[in-house]
Amino acid sequence: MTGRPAPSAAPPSARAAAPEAAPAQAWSLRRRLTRRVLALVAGAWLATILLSAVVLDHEMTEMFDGELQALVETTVLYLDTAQAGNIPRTLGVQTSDSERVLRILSADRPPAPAPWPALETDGFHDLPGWRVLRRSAEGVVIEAAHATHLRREEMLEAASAFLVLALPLIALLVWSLRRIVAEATAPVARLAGAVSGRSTDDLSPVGAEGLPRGLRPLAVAFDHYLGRIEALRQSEKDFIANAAHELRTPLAALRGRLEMSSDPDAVAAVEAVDGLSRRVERLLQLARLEAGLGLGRGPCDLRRVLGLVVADLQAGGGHPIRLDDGDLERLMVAADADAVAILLRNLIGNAQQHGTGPVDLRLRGDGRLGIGNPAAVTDLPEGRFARGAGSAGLGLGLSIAEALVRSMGVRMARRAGNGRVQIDLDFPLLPDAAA
Amino acid sequence: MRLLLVEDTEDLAQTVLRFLRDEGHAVDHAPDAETAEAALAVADYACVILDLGLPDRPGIEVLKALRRAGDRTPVLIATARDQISDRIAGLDAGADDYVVKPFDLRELSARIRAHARRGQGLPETRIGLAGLEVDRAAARLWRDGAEIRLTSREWALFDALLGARGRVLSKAALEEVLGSFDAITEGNAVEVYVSRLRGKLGAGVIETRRGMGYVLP
Repeated sequence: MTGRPAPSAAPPSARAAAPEAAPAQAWSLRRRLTRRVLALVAGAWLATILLSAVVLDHEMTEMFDGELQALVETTVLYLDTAQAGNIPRTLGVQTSDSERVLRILSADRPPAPAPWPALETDGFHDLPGWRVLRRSAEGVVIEAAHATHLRREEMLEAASAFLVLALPLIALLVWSLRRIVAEATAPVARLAGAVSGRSTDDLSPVGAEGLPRGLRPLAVAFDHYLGRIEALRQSEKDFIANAAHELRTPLAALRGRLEMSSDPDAVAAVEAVDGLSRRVERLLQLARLEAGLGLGRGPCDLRRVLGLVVADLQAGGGHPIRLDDGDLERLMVAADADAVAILLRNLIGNAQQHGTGPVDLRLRGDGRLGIGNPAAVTDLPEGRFARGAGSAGLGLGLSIAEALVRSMGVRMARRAGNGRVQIDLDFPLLPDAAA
Repeated sequence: MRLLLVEDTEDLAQTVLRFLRDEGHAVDHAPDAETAEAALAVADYACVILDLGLPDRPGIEVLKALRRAGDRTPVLIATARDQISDRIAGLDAGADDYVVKPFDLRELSARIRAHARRGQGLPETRIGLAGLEVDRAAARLWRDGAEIRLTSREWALFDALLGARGRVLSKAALEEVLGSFDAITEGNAVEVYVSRLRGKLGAGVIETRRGMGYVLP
């Protein structure tokens, strides 16, 4: 078993197990939808309020101007019908709040004081602080005026009614919009959850039931791909199982014949067949690893698998194995039983073949399995297992173990010292592991 | 003894047949599930060597049908399926042992001897004890054909009592047995494990000799 290149540091199965990094600036569909709809509705409302204010301003100006006009007309009528002298021809009337002013100016009398400069022409005049209507009739000049702040206040009062009405409505809008968007985007969240929350080996369909029309093609396409992956994986598994059968059965026949032969050369060749069998086993292990065996998440009874592997290895010779099962009758872990068996077979078998004494196995209820054995090595190489000098095929078996550990999510710690090598494996327990 | 070999690969079947016949067994050969079931219906075999990948039906179905019918004939699966899940499925279906191809013919023969029934008696590697069958070499035991699983400490204690069968073992001696697992053994550990063993094996299997210790009569 020399000269075989070790498998790449990270086989596809291990790479696939690594979670994809989320994009740095992902935006939220819900938030974006809420924000944009809210901005649109609020903007439209604001525009409506502004437009209403402009219309209101125009209407109120007309109304107030009508009032001034009526005042002036009434005054002219009074001057016309009143007997001379009954109504003073020069008059300044000012309301108590200084908001409305009426003046009658006669050419032969000095004018009463006014807060605006003298006007030359009839009609409406916009002066600082006042809107004035001047009218010449019956030999006098009549000026009626409104303070502009009066008009502005009336206008603001009317406009603020809109705002007071709009504010609680906007609050209501925000609240209901959030609910509606959350409800509308719930299928997206459900779909995303169904995809991201599944374990690495779960290829069951996501299902398009209950999804809106826009998302259905996505779910259907996704399920289609999952189905194809499942079919590919199944055919890969079937191929490996067939390969195992096609390789192992003739080897068994060949081994049997050699074993029964009376020719000593033929009997000696049994060892070569056994070497070939080990190669086949490694090759099948490697193929299973590449097919994603380590991605399975069980459940698996680690205690039982360990017992079977130990019984098998003990029958095969090498240093004795002492198993302390921590008094556990079973220990359910979230790992594929076949992957666990390959991992344990490689690690314990390696300790048994290359150590210098009995192998001690210690299982604990928290999922830790310790493999310890006396060995001649003084230190372990950092990182990957390296093929020790003079060892046969060590590199491949242990590389498989390392790659499996990565894809299975098992933590492995190795240390060497004082003539012993200790490997601790921490298996992920099933979430509801009840031993 | 009379054996049945269920194997569809002619080449391999002939080799195994020749070997087992040379060892003095009377071996029938069935190349498929149908022939195997027909043979099992008419003859009483000491042991069946069963391949899983048969041309007409999976070998495991032959085994399941056999067990459903209440037939306890020892079955040894000899297959190219090397995965532990196949092995567990085989054992759960009622197989007594499981060997993966390519196998050592001598080892196959030894395993057949370990499981095969001679008449109604026990295989030579097994001990009968208070209704239990014990295989010390394989560290396994059965009651009425059903395997009883012991943890490593329970087995260590039981094995020590079995080794000294008929002789009383003191509590200190048994503490020493458990001491090989933990540096410090708690004061009542022996009582705890004896009581557990009685729960699994039956109350009368281990006797207490007050002031002296425990004994397997």
